[in-house]
Parts: sequence; structure tokens; C-alpha cells
Amino acid sequence: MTDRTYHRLVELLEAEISDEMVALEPDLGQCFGFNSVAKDVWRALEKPTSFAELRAQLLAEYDVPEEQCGRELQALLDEMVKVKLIAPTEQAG
Amino acid sequence: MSRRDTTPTSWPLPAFATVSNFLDESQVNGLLDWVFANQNAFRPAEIVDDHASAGGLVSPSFRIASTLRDIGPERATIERRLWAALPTLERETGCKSGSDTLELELAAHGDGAHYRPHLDISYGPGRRPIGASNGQDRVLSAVYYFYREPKGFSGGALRLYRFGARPAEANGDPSNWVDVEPHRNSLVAFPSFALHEVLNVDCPSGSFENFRFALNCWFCRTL
Repeated sequence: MTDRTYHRLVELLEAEISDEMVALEPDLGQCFGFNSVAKDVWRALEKPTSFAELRAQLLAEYDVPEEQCGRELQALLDEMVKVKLIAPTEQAG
Repeated sequence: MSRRDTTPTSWPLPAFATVSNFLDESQVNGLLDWVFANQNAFRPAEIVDDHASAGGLVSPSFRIASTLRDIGPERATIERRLWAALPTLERETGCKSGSDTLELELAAHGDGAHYRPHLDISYGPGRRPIGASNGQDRVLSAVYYFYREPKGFSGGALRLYRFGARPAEANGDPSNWVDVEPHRNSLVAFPSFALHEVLNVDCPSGSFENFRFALNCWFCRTL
């Protein structure tokens, strides 16, 4: 599997509520709700971060099997890409 | 992510921060002296216009109040207090502002005053950011309440709606909002992108000295 790196596409206005986060993307005028994992991933993507790094951070934080963690992380990243919050960084070469 | 564009009831209510006795009594009186001495300088309040190229709109059906940008000789003291309070406000609202500028405005609310549900930022395609400086957005809003005693008005509570609510959805089920009373010498802070409203003010005397006064404060940054 390619170890893609992801980066943020937008700045959000954010508010944390307990473990979760609510955010507004002002240019779209759209609100997003982040659960604990999504919030951690969004925070990690403050700087471009690879899939492997993100998975390692989640495995250190949450009690979850590696395979499940990778699968659910990929689904989350795909959803974030779909709504244009983040994008995979193009690799040179 | 857990939710997106779902029904308003599935979103949380905004967390807000309250600081009682925010200023010394002499400073409260200084602010009151200033607004009374400058009554004629207040102008009809404008509303946030997402796309205006210059200036704002006055819309009495949406907002009735009068405002003044010059907050007088207490400005330096108040700004110091606000910056000192910011870490507490950020922690209690869950809103890390990253702010480096502050925008202030005095607002006077007399009989019939209100401000219908709104956000303190502009949003949507083609929006024009509003903030302390060009291109900046308001991130964390705070309202400081003050008035002469004995209190000459009633009403004027701040109503905060669930995140994700649209202005058109801002009614119906009371579980969709929380009301915050405008206590004298208190500061209330909340995320600027939370939908909120100023409920109707009743001020039977109609006298400016009996109005509900607020100092609107916005911590701003460039997104």
C-alpha cells in the first residue's frame, strides 16, 4: 500500500465539546462534526502527515487492532477528501 | 467525522464562558459616564452582510440597537482585561482563537431592541471576512453587559442555538437553545460561529439612561 501523505485544504473555525469538535468551513458555510478520532486526525494534519504516521498516532492513543485502525482511518481520510477538507499530497516522480 | 448537515437536534449546544465582576465598579461607572456623555454619537446598528463590498446594512426587522465604536478612556484597561481573560474564555468555550487582534463596539438596547438569530462571521461562497483588520475573521465573541442601577429594563437575554442550526431553523423546540441573562458587570463568551440572538428588550421609560448596554468584543485572526 502506498503511504500517502495528506494535508489540509482549508482553515476551520473550531469549538471542542468534550471529546468531540464542531467546526465551520466559512467559505462553504458548512458545519462539520468531528468525533474523537476525527478530531485527533484533523489536529495531526495541522502539518502534512503520512497515513503511516497517522495510524501510529491512533494506535498509541486508542486500544484498537492495527488492521481495523488502518481500515477505519482510510475511510475517514477518504471522507475528509470527499468533502474537501484535506487532500493527498502529490508525490514527486 | 460524526455528523454533517443533519437535523439541528443532533448537534451539541455551544459551550459558553461567564466571568462575573469583570471590571472594577469604578470602571463600570466610567463606561456608563462615557455612554451617557456620548448618547448622540450612537448610530443605528448594522447587521453582518456576507457579501457587501463596503459598509453594512441597517435592518430594523432584524436588528434594533444603536452602536458606537469609540469606547472611551477605559479602552486600554478593558483590552488588558480581555486579553488576560482569553485563556479562560478559550478553555471554557472549547474555542482556541489563535487571535492577535480585538474588535470592540458599544451597543445600546432600548425598548423593542433585538437582534434576530445570526452568526458573528460572514459565511458562504463569495463571503467577505469581517474582523478587526482587513481579511480577518471573528473567532471568539464576548459580550460585556453593563447598565445603571436600579435596572430599568427587562429581557435582552442572549440565546445560543445548537451548532449547525440555520437562522430559519432557530425556533420551535426549547431544547435547541440556551438563554444567558445579561447580568450587570458580567462577560459572556462563545464561539463566533455559533448561531445566537438578542431577545427583545423592554425598557418602559424609554430613557437612554435605563437602556441595556453591551460592549461587544470579538477576538479575531486571519484564517
